[in-house]
Amino acid sequence: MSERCPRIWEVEAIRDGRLRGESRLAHERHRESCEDCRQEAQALAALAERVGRMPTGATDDLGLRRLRQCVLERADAEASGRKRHTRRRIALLGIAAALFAALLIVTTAWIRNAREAPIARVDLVVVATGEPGTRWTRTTESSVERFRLNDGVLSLRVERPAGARRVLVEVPDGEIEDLGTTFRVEVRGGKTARVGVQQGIVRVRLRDGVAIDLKEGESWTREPAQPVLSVEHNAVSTPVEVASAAPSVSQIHSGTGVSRVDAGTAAPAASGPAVGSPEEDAAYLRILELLRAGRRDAAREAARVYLAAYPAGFRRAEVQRVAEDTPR
Amino acid sequence: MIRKVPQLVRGSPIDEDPDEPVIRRLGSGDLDALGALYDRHAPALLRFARRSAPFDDAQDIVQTTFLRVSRIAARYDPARGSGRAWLYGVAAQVLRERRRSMARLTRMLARLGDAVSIPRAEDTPGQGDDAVAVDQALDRLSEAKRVTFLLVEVEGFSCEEVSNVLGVPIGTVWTRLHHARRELRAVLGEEQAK
Repeated sequence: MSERCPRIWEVEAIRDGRLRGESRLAHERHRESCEDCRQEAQALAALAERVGRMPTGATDDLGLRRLRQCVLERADAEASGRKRHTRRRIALLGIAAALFAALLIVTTAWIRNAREAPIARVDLVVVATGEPGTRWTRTTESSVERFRLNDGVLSLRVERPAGARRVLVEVPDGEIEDLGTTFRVEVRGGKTARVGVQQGIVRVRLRDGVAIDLKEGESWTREPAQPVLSVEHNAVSTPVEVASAAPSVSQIHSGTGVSRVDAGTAAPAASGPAVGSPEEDAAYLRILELLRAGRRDAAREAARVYLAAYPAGFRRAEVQRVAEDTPR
Repeated sequence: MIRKVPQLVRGSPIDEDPDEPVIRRLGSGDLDALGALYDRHAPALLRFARRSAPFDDAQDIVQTTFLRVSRIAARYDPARGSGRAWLYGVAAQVLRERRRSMARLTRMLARLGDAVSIPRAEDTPGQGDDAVAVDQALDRLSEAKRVTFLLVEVEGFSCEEVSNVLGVPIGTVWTRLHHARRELRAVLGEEQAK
């Protein structure tokens, strides 16, 4: 049995396009002298021709036309169906988009309401009353209720729940921030003369360095003669020294430095302050301090001074008992 | 050294492909283009289908092929081969799907105990002995080998084009071709010996 040509595989490789260029030319030159390769090439071509020659049934023109008609009709029906489907899909998408947009609008509105709700729900109530001749303005901003007090006495009653706008009183020499209270601010000659707190807490920030929180019953008064700041502790405090007959000054130590506790009785006597004023309160508290200190004589004397200054005072009945040294 | 790159794909976008504008029109919804495509390729596709599948299925295969082409014409990419090659690729896919469903049906009927005879060329009147032998030899090939052989050796596509339209590596096309030739020669050589 003779060996077949070792290059016979190249015949199929050339037929399949695996062998190109110089290799192909080299094989074609080889094939001229190689019987095996020539026969292989002929056999492959003959196989292809034989299969290609296989009858596939007569091509019936009528059958082809019928098939064409069928293909076109079905394609047309499918295209119409696709168009209907597309239109339906577009309509559904439109509805979905509209629903989504509506949902988005509702959600946005809800979120906005939720954000604004605390402010909307929290009602800030500020009742501002200026005494005759007081120059002041009021401005409502998104986060601040701003009062500008240029001169005079302004009383504010603030009901400020958590989350409500801040309440700020701008005075020529600083600002006073309310933290939910009833308080009174007095400005004289372009400077804050006095801040009294009846209820709650007020933060006083002045340019000359004053930065204090005044609690209920406390007030701050500017010293008229010297720019020493004093804090009147209308509430209970610890006096170091008390002048009994002439209610003047007692020294205490506060967090901000030297302050004074003012009995507040000289002023009413001199200027006849109104009933219910902070001076009246101070005079009353002064009496209490003296009583707590066990200085009953001085307290009795202070009570008499109170009664003389405020014959129609709110604590007249109690002070009367002190003046008469009658136990409660 | 500059090496010249050989032109691998017949009917590549470099050549004028008469089918490309027709497929584009079809892709944009012009059904007249489907008629034009049918007139141009239906007879050859019908022959291809008759060689590849049971005789009576050929018309269904061609119809399904053109309907599918009308649906997916917008996705045709000329860079991947000629319009004709793409068309045959769709037909090959239809054939494969049909073959699978037929196989399922055959298995189901076999379980029921019925002998299923799928009509082929021998059932077709007017065919000679050689045609029957060739048809039987083709029938013995796997569907993948048969389609590859017919696309390359009968329809004249290059191996690269067949690789593109069937979505298989070119090495697979070469292998399938080699085995198809060997098996066909073995069967048809026996027939000749008889």
